[in-house]
Amino acid sequence: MRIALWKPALLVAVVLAVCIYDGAPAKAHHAFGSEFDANAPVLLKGKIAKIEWINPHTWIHVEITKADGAKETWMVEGGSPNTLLRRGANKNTFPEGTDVVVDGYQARDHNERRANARNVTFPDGRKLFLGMTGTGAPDPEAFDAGKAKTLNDTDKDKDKEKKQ
Amino acid sequence: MTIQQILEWIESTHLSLAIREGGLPYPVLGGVHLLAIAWFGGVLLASDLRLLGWLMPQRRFSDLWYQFQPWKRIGFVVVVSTGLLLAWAEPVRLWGSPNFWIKMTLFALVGVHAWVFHASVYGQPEKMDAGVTSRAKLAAVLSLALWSGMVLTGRLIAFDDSFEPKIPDVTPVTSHADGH
Amino acid sequence: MPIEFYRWLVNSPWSHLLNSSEWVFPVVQTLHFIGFALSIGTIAIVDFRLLGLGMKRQSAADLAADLEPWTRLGIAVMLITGPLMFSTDAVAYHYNPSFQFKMVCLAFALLFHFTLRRWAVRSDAPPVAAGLVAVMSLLLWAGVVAGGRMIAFI
Repeated sequence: MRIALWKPALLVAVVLAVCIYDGAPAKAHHAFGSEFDANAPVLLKGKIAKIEWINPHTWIHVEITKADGAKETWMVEGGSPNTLLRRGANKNTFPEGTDVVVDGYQARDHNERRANARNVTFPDGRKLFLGMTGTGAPDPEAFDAGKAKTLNDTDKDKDKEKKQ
Repeated sequence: MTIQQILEWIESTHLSLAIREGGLPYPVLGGVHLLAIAWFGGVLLASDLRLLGWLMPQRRFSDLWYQFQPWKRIGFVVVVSTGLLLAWAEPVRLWGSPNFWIKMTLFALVGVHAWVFHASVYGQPEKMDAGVTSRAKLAAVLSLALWSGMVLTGRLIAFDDSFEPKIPDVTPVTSHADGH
Repeated sequence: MPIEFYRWLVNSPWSHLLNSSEWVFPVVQTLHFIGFALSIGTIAIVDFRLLGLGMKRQSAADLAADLEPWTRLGIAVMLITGPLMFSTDAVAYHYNPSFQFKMVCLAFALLFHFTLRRWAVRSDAPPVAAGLVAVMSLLLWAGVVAGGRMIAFI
């Protein structure tokens, strides 16, 4: 049976063309490395502004206060509801207004106020791992707190502590 | 009633909440949708590859076609119903999703494709027994392209940017300058 | 496998390729889906035939012989696209229990496919044996797909 090569070639070309048309606008979350920057750890200290308890990813919006007093809200991506439920969290674990510390990795576009969360620490010291194993987030052991960019004004915090 | 109101009503239903916020329903529906894609996609691939003369060329096209039909139908029903349920979970987001609309356009084109090629190919499969026409081969190539496109854009729906503003728009929690 | 192996995969050129751009990974993943439609789809057609459901104008042996090249092509596509995607996050993936479950199912599914099932298909096994083999095959491959889906949710 002779196989005319142009036939499979045409087929592959058509399928690939259909796949590739969708170039720039689409962002694929579905590989940590293509969405978030493993070399840009961030530390967010602020209040929970909003929790989006939805599939496929939960989102926690954290409002931080910057040096000049301006407020900035970041959105941090957590695991799916199922992932968090298995760790003992639920929709009500993140009430608005709660002071939290979130560590994670910033989006590749550093202009975006978006990050992939690793841990959230609550006022009572409880720590919850928000990440999803299998999304490509870096080695759980590898988070370098020393390198993390703290996005709040820590000097201001120290002043407050002194006053108290 | 505006579209927005209808979509928001859908999102407020128990069914929608259960899938959107629940632990297992969303991934399970997704898994069944995937299995149905394997099933329906497999039969479709077999059918199109037969038209191209690459799969089971020694068997009569009409023979295979009639045997594939019930399986195609079952697979199609499962794919579409799981798809509908997944859509029921987040209609507001899907409405604003470019990938969703491209996928639906491709789906509509699938209907157009069936209509265009009905007389010459699918309506009378016995016609292909004597020899598969080039028109039929074109139909097969287009079918493969359309369905591959649907799989790709379907995958991209869950991960596109459309529902996540880069600058989150949330009312400030605090109103005091010192942050407390 | 030592952790260094997985780290090496994460830092491999192909891993960087998939991570560098927004669309490479989803295209590879879509090829993964088309690959399993081809492989698991054709496997399922034969399995259902073993169960006496559908495609009855051919014997299971004939059907399997006709479809086997395509099943293998599908498996080849999976075994290329899978490790490519795995490489992008090898360290995290290998810890993931759902991924581990998937790999166990895959190993058994492949082993089963090329041994017991092959025998059952070619030797025109009696209906009960054929049925059991078919159910086992379907369950193992369904486990692979389900395990794959749940990776992101565990």
